[in-house]
Amino acid sequence: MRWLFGFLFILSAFFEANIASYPLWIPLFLVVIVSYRPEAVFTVSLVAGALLDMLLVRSLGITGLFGLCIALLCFAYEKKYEVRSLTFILIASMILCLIYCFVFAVPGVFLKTIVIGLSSLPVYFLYITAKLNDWV
Amino acid sequence: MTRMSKHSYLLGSFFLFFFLGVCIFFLFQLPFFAPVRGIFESAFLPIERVLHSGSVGKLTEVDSLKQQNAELTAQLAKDKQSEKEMAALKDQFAFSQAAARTLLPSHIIGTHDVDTYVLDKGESDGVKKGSIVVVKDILLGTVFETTPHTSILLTMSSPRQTISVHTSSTNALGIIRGTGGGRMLLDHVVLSDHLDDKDVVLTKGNSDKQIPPDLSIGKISSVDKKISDVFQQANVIPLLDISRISVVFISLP
Repeated sequence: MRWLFGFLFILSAFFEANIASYPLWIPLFLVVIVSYRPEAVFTVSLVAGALLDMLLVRSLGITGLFGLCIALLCFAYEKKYEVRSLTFILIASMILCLIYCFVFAVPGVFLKTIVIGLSSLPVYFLYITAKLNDWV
Repeated sequence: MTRMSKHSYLLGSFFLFFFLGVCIFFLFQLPFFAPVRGIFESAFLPIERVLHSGSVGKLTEVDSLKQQNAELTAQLAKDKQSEKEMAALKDQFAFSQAAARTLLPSHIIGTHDVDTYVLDKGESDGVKKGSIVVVKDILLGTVFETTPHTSILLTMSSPRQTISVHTSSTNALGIIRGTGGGRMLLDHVVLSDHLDDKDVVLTKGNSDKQIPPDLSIGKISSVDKKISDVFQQANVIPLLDISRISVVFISLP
């Protein structure tokens, strides 16, 4: 089950590339950040970013660098505030979706932000379930 | 570990991975590494085709009829142009022959937004930036970016597209500008030219022959003409709903 979030991440990457351009991987990536050590998170960011770049036909590495910066900001925020809460996952998903849409010129910013915020709710409850069952 | 050393460790690992990320970014800009990207792309392409075709779904009868109607409208506009050219040729005894073009069928495997689509053919298939994408005699857009096995199609309604055009019935000259969201604007038409509602807009053709003449782009939906303005404008809608198409054709030079 440790690979559950990895599998969901790959699904969300294909979803964004081939079905509808909603970055559903953002709440999943936030859950990975709050669950694992920095080195693992940074590695996931580069590898998963490369996959996204290939599927979205972008310069390879650019989404990985974006993910690294998100991860660093979250780790810095974690030093003073609680990150394993629904509030953080919800608000951070929406803010990061806003930033992602502006950085990569993705249209439909506000609708996507709301959808990503709503999608962070089931992701958070999945995270809680995984935590209770010691899957992460 | 003390707090300071934890902080330094975090920053250290971040900068190491950031440096790796930058190296990956610059390395894959080099043509040497393009085949590596191509290997992964060719592995993902079948999955992407299935997912996208599943999301589009089967064409309903209404969609098929709409597509047929659009193709017939484009054919009718082209036939009108051919008649005019034949009449001119008869008068002038001039002769010109359009350069033969190879059409490469390609599937749409993804979409970034209403005006940007991903195709499953790339540089290894001979696709170049600027290649036109058509269905029958309807110009859908141009290739904006290529990778070894995929290309990005920018439709004519993208704000990044501008092209010289003329209308089928009245031969009014103008420029089509994409305005986003599947819409186009026919601009810079002099007031003395007449624009008809529902008239088909055709390409003028450019000097380097990348975009041939007399390809249909869209149909005028409304005309905006004010005597006080220098030019008149018209809203143009595409003939085809590209979100309902799965196969398009890339014109190879």
